[in-house]
Amino acid sequence: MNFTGLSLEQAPPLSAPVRFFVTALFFLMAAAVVMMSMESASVNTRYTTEAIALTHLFTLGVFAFIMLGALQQMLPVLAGVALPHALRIASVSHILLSIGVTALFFGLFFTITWLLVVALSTLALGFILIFGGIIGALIEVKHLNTTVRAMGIAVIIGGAVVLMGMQLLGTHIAHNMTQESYLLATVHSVWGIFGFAGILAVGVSFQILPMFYVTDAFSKYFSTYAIIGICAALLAWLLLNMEAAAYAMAARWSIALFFMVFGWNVLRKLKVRKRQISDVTVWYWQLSAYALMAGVLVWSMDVVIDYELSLLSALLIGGGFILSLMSGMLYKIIPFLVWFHLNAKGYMTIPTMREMIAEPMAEIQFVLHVLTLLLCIPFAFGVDTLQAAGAMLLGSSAVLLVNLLRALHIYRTTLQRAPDFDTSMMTL
Amino acid sequence: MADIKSFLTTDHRTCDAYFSQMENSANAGSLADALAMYTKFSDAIEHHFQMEERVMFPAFEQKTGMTQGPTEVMRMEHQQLRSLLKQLGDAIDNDDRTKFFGLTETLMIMMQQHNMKEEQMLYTMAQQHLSADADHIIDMMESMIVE
Repeated sequence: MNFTGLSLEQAPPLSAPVRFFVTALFFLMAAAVVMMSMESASVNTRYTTEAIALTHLFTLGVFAFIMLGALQQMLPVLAGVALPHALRIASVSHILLSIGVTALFFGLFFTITWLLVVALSTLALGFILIFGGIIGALIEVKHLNTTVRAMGIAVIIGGAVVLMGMQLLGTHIAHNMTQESYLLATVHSVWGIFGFAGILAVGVSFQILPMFYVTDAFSKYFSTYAIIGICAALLAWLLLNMEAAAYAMAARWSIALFFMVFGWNVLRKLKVRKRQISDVTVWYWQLSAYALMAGVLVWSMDVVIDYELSLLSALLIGGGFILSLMSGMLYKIIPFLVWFHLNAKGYMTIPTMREMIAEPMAEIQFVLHVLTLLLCIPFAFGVDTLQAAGAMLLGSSAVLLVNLLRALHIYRTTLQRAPDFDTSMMTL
Repeated sequence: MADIKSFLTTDHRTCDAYFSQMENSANAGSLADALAMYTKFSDAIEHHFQMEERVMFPAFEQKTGMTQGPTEVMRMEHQQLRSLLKQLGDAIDNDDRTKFFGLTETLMIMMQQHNMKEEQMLYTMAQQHLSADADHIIDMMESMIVE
């Protein structure tokens, strides 16, 4: 049995996850600037290279970065294992992935082939390193629970999504796109969103909602079968698309149904939670659940009503569900990590979590986030609001970054004074 | 047969419920209104800590020979939680709402991380190693008087 994860000393150093979070927010601001400078027409079909470049700034640069940072942090707490060589893996993969995301963006946006080759190799190496580390740690876990299992499944699907991305990028570089490539691109995006981000979000919420808001636990039945069900539906959807495309909508509706039930469960549990106190993070959870339900509803309808709705569902699910959830979680995770690491270093009198991030600033940021989403919706119907949405997103992401940097600033300034308590005297 | 894991896990949920009631009453009224629930909560949590530190942990350590392992880490986290609880009491005395709600936020997450480690790892192991003596150990925990 491996106890290292139980130890305070073995929690990854603060800088390991934080570098991923902060970089993600810079990519978010960059994406906002790109939106402001783009012609709407070049984005509203998903197959222009500009649209693909922008999409990956969000999915890789923002979503994957935040998820990777969060995974490093959650492994010790939820699974009792630590990433081997935590800091080394974090720093090397962070550099590789940052270069990869940047090169992929410029390579696609300005059609620069050598940059795409750089992106291909750095992203591949970066993901192999960090996914390999996470899987290596997860193999050590003796007491599997649904959350840990979900994390493992999400990482495996994430690996498959990366492989598909590599294949697509390679084909694109070689100018060799075929009809199969478009199917592969669809699988890549649907598995990335529902299989990687979706399963991770569902699995983590089983622990996080009871933990932060003292809600009732998800029923054993739901928590066991939801993840299996989503995986089965994703697999069925893939096979049907390959062999019997006419029936693929049944699998699509099943995927949508699982997430619908999940979203409804989140809202209901928050409504009757024992801890009544409300803050921005609760609003973010509620917003993300509503957006998820709306997003999968739109996604499941677009095969029925024969109207191109994929942009709307992507905006609702990506911006409304995933980004909202992540913003809310960052407001909890970062101040807590600052407190936790200072405390472990022997500092007892530390500003509390609420003193690190001023609630009114977080509320302003939430409003800007909602306005961004509202401005994105008309864009999905062909109204030219992309630049305005980009400007609003720039404001929202800048305030989010400032809010989180304030907490990190407290960490740095506190470390400059002597600790209240000398932990070097303690042996573990 | 009695089950150490479910006994202590149930006690965690009781402490969680007191915590929420304390926070809810402070949220609905003044901090002074929360004082009674604070006392109830901190008594319950101290009782829980001592059941572990004085009964279950020593039994576990004796049986497994692991004295520097998980129980040691849990003891340290108990100390951190005790320190937070004391600060929370000070915040009530000083009628400092910002401090109070900041501390409950920190305490909540710290406590839940701690519970999760215990429930998912330590209690499971304790149940495996101590199942033969489980009835006796639970009796001792129940009859223990807080020092």
